[in-house]
Amino acid sequence: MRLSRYAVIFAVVAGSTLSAGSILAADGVIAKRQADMKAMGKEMSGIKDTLAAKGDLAKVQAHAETIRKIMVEVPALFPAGSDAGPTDALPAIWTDQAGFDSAVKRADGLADALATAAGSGETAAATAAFAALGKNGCGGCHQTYRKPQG
Amino acid sequence: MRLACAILLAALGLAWPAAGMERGELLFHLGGCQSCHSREGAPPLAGGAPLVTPLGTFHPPNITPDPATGIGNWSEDDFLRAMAEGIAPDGSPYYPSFPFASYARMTRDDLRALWAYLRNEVAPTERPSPPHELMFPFSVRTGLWAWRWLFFDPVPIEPDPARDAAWNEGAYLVRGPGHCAECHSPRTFWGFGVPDPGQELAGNPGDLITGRAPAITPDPEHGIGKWSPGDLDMFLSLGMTPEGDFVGGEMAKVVENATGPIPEQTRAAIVSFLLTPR
Repeated sequence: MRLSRYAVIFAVVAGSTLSAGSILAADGVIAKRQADMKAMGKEMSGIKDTLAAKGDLAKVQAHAETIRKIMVEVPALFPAGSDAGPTDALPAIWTDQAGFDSAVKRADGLADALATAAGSGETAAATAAFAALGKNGCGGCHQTYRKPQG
Repeated sequence: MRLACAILLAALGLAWPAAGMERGELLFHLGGCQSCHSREGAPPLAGGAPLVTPLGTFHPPNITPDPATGIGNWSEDDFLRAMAEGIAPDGSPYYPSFPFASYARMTRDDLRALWAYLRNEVAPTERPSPPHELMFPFSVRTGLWAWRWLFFDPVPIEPDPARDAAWNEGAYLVRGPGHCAECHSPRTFWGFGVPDPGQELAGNPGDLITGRAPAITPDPEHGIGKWSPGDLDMFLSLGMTPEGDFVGGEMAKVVENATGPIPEQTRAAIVSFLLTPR
């Protein structure tokens, strides 16, 4: 009898520790993905500055490749359960996982296209590819999968 | 840096039709008609995606010149009354989900130019508009007369002689056709009223009806006063903030349909108005 009460208490303590642990883990992954998104934003700013200054397109290419390196990690940064916590991620990420994955792929494809355009040395082509990546890659994903900012 | 941005934006301009835009077309873009009245996968302006609010669901109607299901049978006066007074041709009042309180501040000439554009440049599409599905008592249109009596008091936009032409043009476009305040000003009476004229563009923290929108006053702390004109031009063209973030949500539609496609000098006028301390 007493033993079963101990078991209940043990189960409650263990359960709450575990769920606290998973909340902490979710907070960690939320912080990580927010930092990654900010990092990609910084790369985009760098590209804008370089294009505006008619600077070296090799830099633009390097920025685009950095974005791709970060982008490849993005799907794993939205594990099930990480919708709870200090996040602006919308539930659509988890209810429409295939759509989310393909939006990330599209953004990666557009970053790849920007790297290629910059590699070709054509400023006009790189500028157009930059606009496409921003609007359809970054913005396209935010449109569907992130709460409006404000 | 400002010059450099101008060069970049000129290069981006390759992607958009810009220079020499007719007034009607400009107002059509800036009015953002498409953001609400068009839906993905359907012809433009044939009726928008359902607008879900706590009061129920609005269905933005077909505004193509189709005579049966659009506005093809309207007269110019019908259109002027709809835009400037918020009254349908059958005499019933519109819900303020249609931002006529802002459109009502436009000049008659501009409304006529917009009417000509909608009549002549938009392809008619036959698609009936479903009725709104609102909860009681908001479903009763008669109540809108009370709303109008309490809140609807459109003030024409007077030019400010102390400011230059670009600032005045920007002020007119932001306050009238652009209807920026509908989201970016706090609304009176917990959202049931109108954009508060005393706190123009000071941001909406989210009320009972409308969502959050940031402050876009020239205040450097609370608004966008730290943005350079190039930053803001970049944002209105592409949706990119100075931090390199790209907007989503309603503002992405505004950039796509309204502030992106307009000529550079028109955007510059809007920038001048928004960033000049008032």
